[in-house]
Amino acid sequence: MKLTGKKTAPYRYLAPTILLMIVFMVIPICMVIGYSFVDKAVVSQNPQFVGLENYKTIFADNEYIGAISNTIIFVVVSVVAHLILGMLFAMLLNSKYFKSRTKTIARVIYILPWVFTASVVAILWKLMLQPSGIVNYLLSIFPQISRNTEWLSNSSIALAVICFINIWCGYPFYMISILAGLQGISGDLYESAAIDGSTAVKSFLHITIPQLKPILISIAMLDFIWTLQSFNVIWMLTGGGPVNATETLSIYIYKKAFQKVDYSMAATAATILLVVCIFIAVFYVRQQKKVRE
Amino acid sequence: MKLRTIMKKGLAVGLMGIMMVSLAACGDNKEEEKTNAETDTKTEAKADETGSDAKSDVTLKFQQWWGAELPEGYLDDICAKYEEETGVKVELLTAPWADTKTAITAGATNGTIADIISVDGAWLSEFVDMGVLTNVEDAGVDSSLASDIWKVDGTGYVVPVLNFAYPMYVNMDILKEAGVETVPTTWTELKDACKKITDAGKSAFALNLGTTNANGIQNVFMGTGWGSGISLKDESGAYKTKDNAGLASLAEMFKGLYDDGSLYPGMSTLEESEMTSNFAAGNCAFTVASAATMSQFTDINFEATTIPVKDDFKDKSGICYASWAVGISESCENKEEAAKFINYLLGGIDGKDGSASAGLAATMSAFPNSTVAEPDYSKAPKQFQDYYELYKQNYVINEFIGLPNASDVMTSMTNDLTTYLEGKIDIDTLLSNWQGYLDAAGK
Amino acid sequence: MVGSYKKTTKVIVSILLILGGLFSAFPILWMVCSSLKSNSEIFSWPPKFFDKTANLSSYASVLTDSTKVRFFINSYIVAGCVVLLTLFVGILAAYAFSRFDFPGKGVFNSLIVSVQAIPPIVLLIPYMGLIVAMKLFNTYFALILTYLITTLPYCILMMTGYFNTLSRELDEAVMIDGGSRWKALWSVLVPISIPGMVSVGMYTFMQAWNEYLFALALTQTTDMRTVPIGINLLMGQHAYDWSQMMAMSVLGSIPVLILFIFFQKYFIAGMSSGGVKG
Repeated sequence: MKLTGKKTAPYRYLAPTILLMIVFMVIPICMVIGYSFVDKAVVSQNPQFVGLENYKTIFADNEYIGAISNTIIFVVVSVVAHLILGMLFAMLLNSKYFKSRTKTIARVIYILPWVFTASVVAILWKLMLQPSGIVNYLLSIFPQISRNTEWLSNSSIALAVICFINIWCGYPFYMISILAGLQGISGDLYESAAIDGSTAVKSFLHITIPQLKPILISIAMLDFIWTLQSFNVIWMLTGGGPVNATETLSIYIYKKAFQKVDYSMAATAATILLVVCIFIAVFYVRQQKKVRE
Repeated sequence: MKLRTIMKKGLAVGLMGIMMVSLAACGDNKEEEKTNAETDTKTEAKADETGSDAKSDVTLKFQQWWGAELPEGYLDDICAKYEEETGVKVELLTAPWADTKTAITAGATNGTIADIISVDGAWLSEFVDMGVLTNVEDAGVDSSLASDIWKVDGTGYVVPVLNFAYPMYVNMDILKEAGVETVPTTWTELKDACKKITDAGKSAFALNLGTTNANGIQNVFMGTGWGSGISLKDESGAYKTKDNAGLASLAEMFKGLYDDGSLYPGMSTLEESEMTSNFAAGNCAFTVASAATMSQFTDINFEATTIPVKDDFKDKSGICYASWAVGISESCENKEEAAKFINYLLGGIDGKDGSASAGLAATMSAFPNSTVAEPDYSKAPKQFQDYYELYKQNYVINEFIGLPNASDVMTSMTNDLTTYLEGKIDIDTLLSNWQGYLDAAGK
Repeated sequence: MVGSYKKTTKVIVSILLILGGLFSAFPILWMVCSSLKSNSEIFSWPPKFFDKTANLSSYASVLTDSTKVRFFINSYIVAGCVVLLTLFVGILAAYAFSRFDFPGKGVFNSLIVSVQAIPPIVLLIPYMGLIVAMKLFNTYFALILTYLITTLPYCILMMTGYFNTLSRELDEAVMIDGGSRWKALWSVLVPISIPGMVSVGMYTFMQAWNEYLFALALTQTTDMRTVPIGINLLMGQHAYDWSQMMAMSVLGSIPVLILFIFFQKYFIAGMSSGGVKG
């Protein structure tokens, strides 16, 4: 087979990616998986092989189970809200009701939450939500809210607050991606729909959504994986508290790895996460195939 | 056509290659420039020296967070002076305090660890377990220069340079407004004062139980306990919290404050940094925080004092402290030189000159661990000078230093304390849970 | 009738636009206000937007500090290189995924998606081992490589998506005219895909600009540090320098916003005519 032949063409295009991925992702990941089967990984010079012992321990850990349920709530709420908000704002920015200058300014304003590093987002919201912060001040027009109202430290709403903040700083990513996708939809489609007497809602459901579907699925799935790992915002805001009420898997893993210096456990939790994500990835790839066919 | 394709592809790959190479080269160039610059300064330094010694090509890497805390360039000046005197260059690697442990851990497992590393009391035991630290006394640190060396199983690993005491700060204006005449000195007085302040619509006492950096349990909670001679340990030195009557009374005192609504709102996610800033803004009446933060309280009328003691307690108070401490990494190739630098920080070149240590202490409102340093606090705030007198009458203590898995244990203890204060578990459960964490630590 | 319906819609849409703007911009406005205050004013009650004492001193202290300026320069170098490399490598892979059917396609695709699933925290130590072994530790290259790898999957997926919306007839037309696939990709597909590339580029830039953990571990000396580390260095052991932190974040965001303003014309440029598959 010729190296330059037709059959090898796709592999040549893929070569740099594959090479990078294997060397810098697959090898370290395999090492992490390896850690999950030994005792005292990294810390000890000669760790002992313990088989599935770590997995047994982790599933018996109530904190881990709690972290899983927090993670599911956090991820599902964030992804769904991101999708809805991102779509809403993208449609607003794409609407024909505004002058192009208005849209230009709005676009810049709407993208603002996205341009700050996660620890700054956390610090900023911490400042705003602290007892003598601006949020309590502005909301004190409501009788239920005073200077002593707690947001992050109230264990019954802390997770909701964290979700809100994560939604705030994540939607522009959707908005931008959807906005770019919207530009790719031919205007003719809407025109012919309008001639057929289709309403705005109908053309949204029958033209916009199906046209955007491949992009929507891609970003939702990526966001799902990223939100699973979202660490900095939660860590800086609550440290997983109050009393583990906002402890997600990424916080759990960090605590195990860097607070308890128990890499074996951290790697075990990470490996489980990897397995779950592989399922999602396979599902995604099948879905993409279907969309294309 | 095919040839053209190949050529074009080749060109693209080539371009990419060039890009990468040039990038790498950029990095290299920088390093070269840097080494050049280093050699330049070194030659200059050598030229200045009268008797240049053979070891002048030694460079020590010093991983710390102090550079970010001290006035800009302060630590660099100390290192520059050291280089001038000995020809040994000390390169400062500064990381944010909260992530220094992460940086050291990652560096230790990959062989990029610095020669001298600064260590917090809570990390000590883990670093020793991982074999990161070497025996400082064997390396040549002069133990007579240090009042205290942190030991694990009898081996000295870490030498504190500065000790930071944790006084209680009192906002005098809030006290006055609430009609509290004197600064409380006992728990009952504290509780009454807090109640008055709360009734006057102010926040009284800040207890930080946030778990991003769970140190409120040490600084505020146990700080209050140590002040009244309450200990986490029994007479034999083993951790003993279960059925510990002193601890029970301490927890109940805080529960009383909580039930009165006297604790600063949001305690379960409150961090030391926010607590300090809130006190500086005049948002609460009492706070226990590091003496190092005193210079920031410029806008308020405050006093610094020892924490109120249990009503019938008459002994000397234990004062909680934290340290800036240094150790030498096991993989350091110039342990002797590293030890010399530590000796320099404590006692200067000849072991008699404590000026570096004293200067650091005076700058940071801290107390030197050096036996020869005599810091000049005359420029420090008046409150600090008053507190210094109190400090000398009492003693420092921190039972968490050297505790295995200290950060993890402190987080668990904090979570249970929050649960207890909120009334979800009783005192016996709290103390026996703590016993469990302390017993399991390091196993 | 229709006119008034349109008017109501316009009012509703306008209100939504303003509400959305408040939602996204209010915290940022608060950040800017905080950056003009002193640390204790930031915590004072009642909170004020602007104080009489508002001043630019925190900006001045960031901009006159040569180490902090160095952090900004480092971040630009790293983020800029990452954007170019990611787009280049990513577009090649996306082209393969979009235009070819080949054995192993599904496997590669799942691989690219799922490698992101391991939390960076656990990956850090083995990954750092590789970087150290390759003698890249504490260089720009270590960071560029890291961010290239972490942003590639998104780039590939998005660009594959965009290429999929473009008709294959486009490349075929080029090839019929005697051009190669390579030419079809770079002279036809890529120019049409600019909106997609801009959004991918923005994302990549943001990732590289904001990443903290690997930047912390893979660099060591002050001259290699990036902006997020500079910001975190202001979070002291006992107290934070809130206003400088805010000032530094505001300063860091300005160039990104300028870039966005410059590139956003690609979002509006009508890409709808002709080539895009209906």
